[in-house]
Amino acid sequence: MEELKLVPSEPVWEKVEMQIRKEKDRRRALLWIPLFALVGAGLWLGIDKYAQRTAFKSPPPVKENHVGLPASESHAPVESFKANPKATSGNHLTIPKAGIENRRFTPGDVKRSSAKAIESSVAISKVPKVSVPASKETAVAESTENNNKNDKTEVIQGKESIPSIQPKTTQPSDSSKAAKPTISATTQPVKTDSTAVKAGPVKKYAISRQWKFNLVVASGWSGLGKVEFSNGQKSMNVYSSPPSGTSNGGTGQYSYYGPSAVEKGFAFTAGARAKKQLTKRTSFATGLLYDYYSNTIQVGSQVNQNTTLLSYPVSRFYYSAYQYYSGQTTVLQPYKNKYHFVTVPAEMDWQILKKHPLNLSFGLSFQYLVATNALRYDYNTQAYFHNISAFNRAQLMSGISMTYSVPLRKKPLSFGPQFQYGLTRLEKGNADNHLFSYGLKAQWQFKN
Amino acid sequence: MDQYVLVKDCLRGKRTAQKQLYDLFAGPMLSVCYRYTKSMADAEDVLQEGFVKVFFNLHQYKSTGEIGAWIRRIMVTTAINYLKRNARYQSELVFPEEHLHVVDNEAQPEVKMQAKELADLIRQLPPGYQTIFNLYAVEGYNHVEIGKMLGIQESTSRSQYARARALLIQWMEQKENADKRNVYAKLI
Repeated sequence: MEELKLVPSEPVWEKVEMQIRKEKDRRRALLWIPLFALVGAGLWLGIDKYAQRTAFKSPPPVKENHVGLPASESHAPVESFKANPKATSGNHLTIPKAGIENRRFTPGDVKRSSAKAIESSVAISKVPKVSVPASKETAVAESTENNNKNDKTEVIQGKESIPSIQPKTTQPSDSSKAAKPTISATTQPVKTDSTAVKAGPVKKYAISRQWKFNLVVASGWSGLGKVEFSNGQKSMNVYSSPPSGTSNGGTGQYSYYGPSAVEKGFAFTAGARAKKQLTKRTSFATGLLYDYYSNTIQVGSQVNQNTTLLSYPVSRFYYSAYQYYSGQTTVLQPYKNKYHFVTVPAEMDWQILKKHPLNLSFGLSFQYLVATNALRYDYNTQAYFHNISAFNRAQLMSGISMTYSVPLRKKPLSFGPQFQYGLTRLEKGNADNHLFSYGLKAQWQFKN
Repeated sequence: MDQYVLVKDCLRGKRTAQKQLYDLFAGPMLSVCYRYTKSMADAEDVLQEGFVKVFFNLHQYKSTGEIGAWIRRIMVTTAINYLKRNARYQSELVFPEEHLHVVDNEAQPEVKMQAKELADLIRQLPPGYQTIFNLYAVEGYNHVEIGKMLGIQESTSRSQYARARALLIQWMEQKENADKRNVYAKLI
């Protein structure tokens, strides 16, 4: 059987080579992950230090005598509600005095939640099959290296169809050729499942005006920040003052519990982005994304009770809630605020370096809050409640990112850090709380 | 080129070395695959799959034996796996427990035949017989090893091989007789 030597058709090696290259490219792409993880980690540490200085922090505990929430009979801050048509709901706010005891105000036992590793999502592409040429007719093989070695050697190229033979009744179909090996050319096309490669002219410097589509994935951290102008100076500290007014005869001390500190949470982005080249090194991008932000606060126990909560100090808003979380306690539990946005970005991409695909992206994103379970803090009742109407659902987010592209068979894969900051307030009527997030972004161009 | 140098160059990712290794063994390995399948297209599929495995696992090759023998083992295993998962062969790749009286007399038939013709005859066998015959008579595996590879008992492998051999001898004798009749017919 060693005498039998066959020659495979050309596409076999091409398919083998393609499989080998595919694996090599995949391994090469994986090497970039630790590099960008290092860069991302460095950026994260730097931004984290910045974020610590600008985090949403609760004020120091205030202990005052006879200063507290007014009793239900006198709603000094509520008087301004009377003009509001919404105030005619008929429900009056009652503040149980029993709930307000002589307690020391202690800030929530806020501990930094354990840091999770930044998940760098890599949109790894599936390289489509490289098309192989259609089969070509094989020439008659009369002299090959194998034939030169052995006279009895038969060399067959191309494909053959083996005739079906009934061994008991008929003879093998090629018995007539048994005397002398004859070599015939076969012209059956090789089975392929892809189209032929079309080699076109290589244009190195032409700018394509077509839209290029990318898949975008990003993950990182998000939080709430605040910018307050006080005497012309910016301050990122939360400043919330208790309502003014005198207590209506009550004895004892009233302690004031401020809103909880906000700890950063996981953020995630996914979607598609369309990019159009404007000049050789700049391009415009837009798309449709899904953004997820989260943060953690410390709240008290859940109270299932129909009530109307007033949001002080902005008194023109009424919110009703069937359940809320008490803030008047030192026994706290973590609560995760989650925000789900649909985002339409408008960004400019600029290739910083001429010879290296290092891009800087900056721009604005219009976001719409689709759903959230986030709690708002009511200064009057010192409670947390949920009502999506209490948030500004339309948000304007600024963003900046830097990415490095790795070519993957004309469909580059880009990695890099990104930072976003909300230009609009997240919550209605409240102090300026702005969403921000930072993390690592990856995008893969799947269509030219 | 020395095969060890060739293997090292292949491991370094040199395309020319990989092509050279392929050119060196593609022909003989296609013959191996050809014997296990029913068509050249299937044989080339097995060859392609086998060589991909060769290059992916080349780092596991220990230079104790010939690289050709190592590649051949991969091809045989790939061919068997191909038969097992290919729908065309699955239904026929059965190994019934036949209680045949196994003849230990491994006498060679007195029939001369070209390698290609013999290969074609082997490929006429049912896939189960074909596989076992190839593994035992051509590749040199013993029945214990064949049983492990195919998940059958040693006795089944022996009986299947005996049956396959008997069939082949019968076909070869018929072919020889037919050739003789044709020769006589031409002379008359």
